[in-house]
Amino acid sequence: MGAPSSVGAASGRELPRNTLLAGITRRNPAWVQLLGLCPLLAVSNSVVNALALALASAAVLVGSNVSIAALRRFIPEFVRLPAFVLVVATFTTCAVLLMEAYAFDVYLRIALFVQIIVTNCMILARAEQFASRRPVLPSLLDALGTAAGFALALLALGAVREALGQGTLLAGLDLLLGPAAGDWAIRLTPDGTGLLIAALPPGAFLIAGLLLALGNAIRNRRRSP
Amino acid sequence: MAEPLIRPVLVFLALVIGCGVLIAATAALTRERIEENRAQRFLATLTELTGSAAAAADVHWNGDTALICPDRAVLRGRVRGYGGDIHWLAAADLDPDAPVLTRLRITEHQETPGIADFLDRPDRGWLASLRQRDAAAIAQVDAVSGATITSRALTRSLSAAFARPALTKPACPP
Repeated sequence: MGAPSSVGAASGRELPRNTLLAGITRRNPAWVQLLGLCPLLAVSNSVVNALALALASAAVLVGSNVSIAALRRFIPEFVRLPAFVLVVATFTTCAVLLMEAYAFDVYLRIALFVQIIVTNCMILARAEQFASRRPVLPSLLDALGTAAGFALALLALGAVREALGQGTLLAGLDLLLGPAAGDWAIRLTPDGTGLLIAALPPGAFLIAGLLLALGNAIRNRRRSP
Repeated sequence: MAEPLIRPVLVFLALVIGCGVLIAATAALTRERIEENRAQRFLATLTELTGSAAAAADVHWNGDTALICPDRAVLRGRVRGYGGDIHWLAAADLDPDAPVLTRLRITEHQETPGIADFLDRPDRGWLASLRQRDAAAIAQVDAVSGATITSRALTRSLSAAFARPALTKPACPP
């Protein structure tokens, strides 16, 4: 794996813009740090599922990063991990309840994976490495950046798997965004011609591996002129 | 030694209380909508089973059975599966000598995703093979390989429900 888990943690002050961008590029939770892979691989079989999990993760990440940054001077050092987990669990529970109330159909499909956001190491890592040592504003930016990076990874994987597995793109978005989004679905290949493996969990590993290799290839090319 | 511990413990307790309040507030805010969502989903499933929204709204439960004039019934049940309780809803045709299952929906389950996905596809595969069977015939359906506990639990529960003596044609107004 060789993921540099301390990227950016010890580098002192950084510009707000860099904090925001680092979450998407340099320390992208999924593609660079390989964190939060369980929900990433399990839920990314369609764009709508990916988007729902991305939104829920973003809400929990922003909530926990901001509140941990705000409380960082009060939380005693030796109970900080239980305290972080408590905060993350609280926001996860709230996200689950809100989703069950306002996006019930999507909730029925991905409920389990929204619930296990609480164990997503990406969120705990941002709390421990960043939010517990910085003021509220940089922590908020870090959360937004990291959430955007996770969302991009989820959506990329979701789009590729939906296109290959079901031959559609953006199908069922009306479950999340209201009836108007129902027309956005694009059918790429005739019904029933999808590549089953892409929709199943093994396909998630294969496609995630290929996307990861693609990302590494692009990075290496940039580095060596 | 005990002295310096008090502050951190109090801080942690305060955090626990704060988190509890936040969850309770969200739960109170969302409870009504969540219950409405669940009830609507149950009604939608019932509509699928009875064939019309009017019939679904007119279902009167007597225990776990609801007789529908002139010769149908809806049954509900719950059985312990592999990962937790499996809740099911079934429609029965009371016309033959022994009531037969016509439609079946699994409304809630916690079985392993991927392995027990057949529970979510009521009109294909194994669940569809239970149709048009009476209590004795349901008991003879083969279990799903890899999900033996799940499928056995379901056939046992369905078979027992369809053997219930309460399952006779209701006395209907002409």
